[in-house]
Amino acid sequence: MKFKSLLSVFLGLLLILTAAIPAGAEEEQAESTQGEILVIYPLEADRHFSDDSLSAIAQVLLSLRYTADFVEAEKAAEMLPLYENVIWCALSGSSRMDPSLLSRYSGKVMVLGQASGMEKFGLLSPGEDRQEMLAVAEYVFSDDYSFQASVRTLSPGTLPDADYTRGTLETKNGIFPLACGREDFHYIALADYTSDFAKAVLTQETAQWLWPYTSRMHVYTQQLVLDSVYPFTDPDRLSAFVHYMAELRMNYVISVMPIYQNEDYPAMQQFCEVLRYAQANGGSVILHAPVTQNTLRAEELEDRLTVATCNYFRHGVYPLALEIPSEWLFREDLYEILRRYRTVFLSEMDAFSSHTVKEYNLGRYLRLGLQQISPALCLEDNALSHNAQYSAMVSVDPGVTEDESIYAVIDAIRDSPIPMQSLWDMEEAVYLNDSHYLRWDKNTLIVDGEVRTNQYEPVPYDNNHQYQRNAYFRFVANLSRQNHFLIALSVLELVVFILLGIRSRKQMHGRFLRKKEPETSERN
Amino acid sequence: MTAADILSIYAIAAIWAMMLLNVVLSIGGYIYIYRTNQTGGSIPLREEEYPMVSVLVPAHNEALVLERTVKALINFDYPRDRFEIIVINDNSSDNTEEILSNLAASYPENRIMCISTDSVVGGSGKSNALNIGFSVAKGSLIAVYDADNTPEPPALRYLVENLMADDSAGAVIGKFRTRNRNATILSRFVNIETLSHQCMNQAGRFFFFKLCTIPGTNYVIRRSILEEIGGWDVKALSEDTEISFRIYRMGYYIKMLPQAVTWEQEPHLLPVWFKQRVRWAKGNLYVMAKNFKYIFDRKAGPMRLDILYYALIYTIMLSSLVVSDFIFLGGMLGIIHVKLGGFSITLWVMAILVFIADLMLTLSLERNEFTLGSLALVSLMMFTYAKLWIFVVLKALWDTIIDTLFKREVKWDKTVRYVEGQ
Repeated sequence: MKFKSLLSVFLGLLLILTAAIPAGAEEEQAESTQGEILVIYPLEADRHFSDDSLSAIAQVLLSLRYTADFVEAEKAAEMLPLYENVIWCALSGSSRMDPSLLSRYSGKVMVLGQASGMEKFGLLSPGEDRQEMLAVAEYVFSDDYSFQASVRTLSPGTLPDADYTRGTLETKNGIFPLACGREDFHYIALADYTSDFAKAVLTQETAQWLWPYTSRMHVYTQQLVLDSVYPFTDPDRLSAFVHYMAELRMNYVISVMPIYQNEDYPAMQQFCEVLRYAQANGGSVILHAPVTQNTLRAEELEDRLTVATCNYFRHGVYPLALEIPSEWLFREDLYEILRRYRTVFLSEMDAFSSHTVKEYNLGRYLRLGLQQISPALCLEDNALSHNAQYSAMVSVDPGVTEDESIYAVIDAIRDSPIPMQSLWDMEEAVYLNDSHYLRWDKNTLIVDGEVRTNQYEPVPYDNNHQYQRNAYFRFVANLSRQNHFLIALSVLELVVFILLGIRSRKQMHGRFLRKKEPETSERN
Repeated sequence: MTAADILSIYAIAAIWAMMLLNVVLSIGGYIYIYRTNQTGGSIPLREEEYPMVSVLVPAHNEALVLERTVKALINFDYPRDRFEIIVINDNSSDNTEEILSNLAASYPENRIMCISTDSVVGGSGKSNALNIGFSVAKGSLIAVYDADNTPEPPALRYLVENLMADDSAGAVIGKFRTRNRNATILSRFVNIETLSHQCMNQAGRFFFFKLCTIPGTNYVIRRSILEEIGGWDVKALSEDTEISFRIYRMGYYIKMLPQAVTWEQEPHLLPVWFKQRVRWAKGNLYVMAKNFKYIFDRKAGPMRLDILYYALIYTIMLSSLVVSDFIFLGGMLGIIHVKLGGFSITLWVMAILVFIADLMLTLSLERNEFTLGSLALVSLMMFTYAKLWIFVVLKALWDTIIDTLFKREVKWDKTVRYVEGQ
């Protein structure tokens, strides 16, 4: 009996423990997927710009590296207590959100859009009609740079006891602050965030709103990226750019396209010669993701990146990071690839839509912990960034941009108050697989287990290169690209025919050796 | 995707499909020939069971080759009193009649009958000549040999034994070989083609579908069938194909027996060959047009497959070859650019290898044919001889259209013979 009692107690404890473990794990998991900011949007997103603005807000938060969850206003009540920061999107005239919901909330709140009906936050709006209107906004990005733009607004208001205001909004009802705040509350009077100007304002104001200190905010750098540079392009043009940058002692990045074959051609040697010179003189090289990636599985993509990177390694060119399109952020199967890099450049934000941002939690991507460099928000033609709140990529594509325009951007970026930084000033790592990897700790470059240097050493060209363009090599090259089914069928057929041929020859041999038959043709 | 790309895909798909069909037929043919080689082809009958056979030989100006042919027929190891040789001297202007008279006198123990016709009764083609011969034939079985044939002694016996062994067989056909295969490179090509298409392909079709087509010579057919169908169709240039279809429609089948061999003289000069092949192609087109309606008739039996096969050959195969050659030439001249990935040189090379292997397998079943020289010839054949087929069919199509439009009477063009070295 005693033994039975002990066994019962033991089993009981075991049950309690095993029941408790998953519960704890679930809680931990729930905590790990929750964003830092809750974005509440009206259910009736009756205007297209409302949806587009949601995508824009998601892009801005991603650039600032904040994780966010998006929820409809009607479902927000039960989620509110879980979040310390809430963005309330009052972008639509028919918004039916109840402001009292937020008035009971004790965390940080930022209201975007209309002030009308927001009296509980202290906002006063003279316009009750909730009609959208055009206005002229002016915003001061830095001490010596402000920008004016025509914007859309919706019954803007003032915050009489604001302890912070920035920019102005000139409407037919008067002049209002573009952004204002008091303690944990923040307000931006813009109702449409699809323009780069609105995104830039939102970027700066969100950073300001969530900045926990009273000191000046941290200043992030910008990167000048010569984007989508294809191997075998004119080395003289690239060389001129590289030498110009070397003379100016400017940091910059060259994003090279992947190459999978013919990497030993003299043209590739010359191309890499320029890249090696660039690496030693302020330039850094990154690898651009393959352009056909949407049709590729993760394994195929990984193989391609490995082949392409190793092809550059062979020429002494060391891509330190990877440039990816925004589609990758929404493909979780590619995260294993992203984990192999320390720094990624986001080339564009095309994949963002209201659908994707509502359905997909980008927190999973942000928790990979990558150093991320996002596209600059350009207010003028010079493609420059005016936001120092995130690492920005000022991109120029030499394939579509004239030399004059490229050099104009270079000159403009020299005068920009936002500093530039070389990738060589950061720690970088690229792990392709167990045997191919790159590590840079600001002092030592280790590639595939060997110490390498990024200093320039000229390498003589191979002037007698065999291009392997005869029929034999074309045949061999084609063989790997052919219709495998037909080839397999043909080979099978050939083998069967050869075996049958051997058998019939044996039969014929036996037949005619045993029995001599006169051949009519010869007889006749 | 450009028009050239689409046409390329069509040509590649069609050529590969037809080639794979040929490969399958070759494998079936191989198995069938291999099996019959093991049995030898003979199904012996009791002496009294061998029926009377009338051997019909239509001859129009065949003086150069006829003596050799008749001597070979006399040499059959078939009961001498059970077969007669009926030569239809069809409006000849040479000394065919004289040669035949001499032969009949020289071999009185054999029944050699010569029927000479003039331009009123005869001279209008092989079918007409055969019908004339048939009208005087006494045999319960009818054998047909062309005037240039030298059949091997057991050929007739094999054919008759196999026909007598199965009442549902309407006819039995043998194999024909090229007697003058070493005359020119063209005759060597013809020899390989004959073995491949006429023998292997027929054997394959017989193996899979119990279906084959009478080749025009070296076959035995039941008299009762000929009487029922009213003899040979005088409008048909390919009387052999035409009569095959009629036999199938009657519910009989045609058996193929590769051990019954005849040797014949094939054209050794290109103009002669071209004329003969155009005639064959025109004949096949006529038969196809005449019988195409049966493709949808279930009662037509396996013959529908043959019609379909011919239809594929003369439509899909022809058009795909024309297209592929056109694109190939255009590409060489830099006029046409095909941008397809994945379809290029390798598939092309594999197609050639399959073609070569297919023909070499056929030759492996023959004595003295499976040689390195044959391999070289087969390799050369695809780029030379095989291409001529396109021109043959195009010419036949053109002639058929013109004949139809202008209601011209179809003419029988006799193949020109020559004296072979002894």
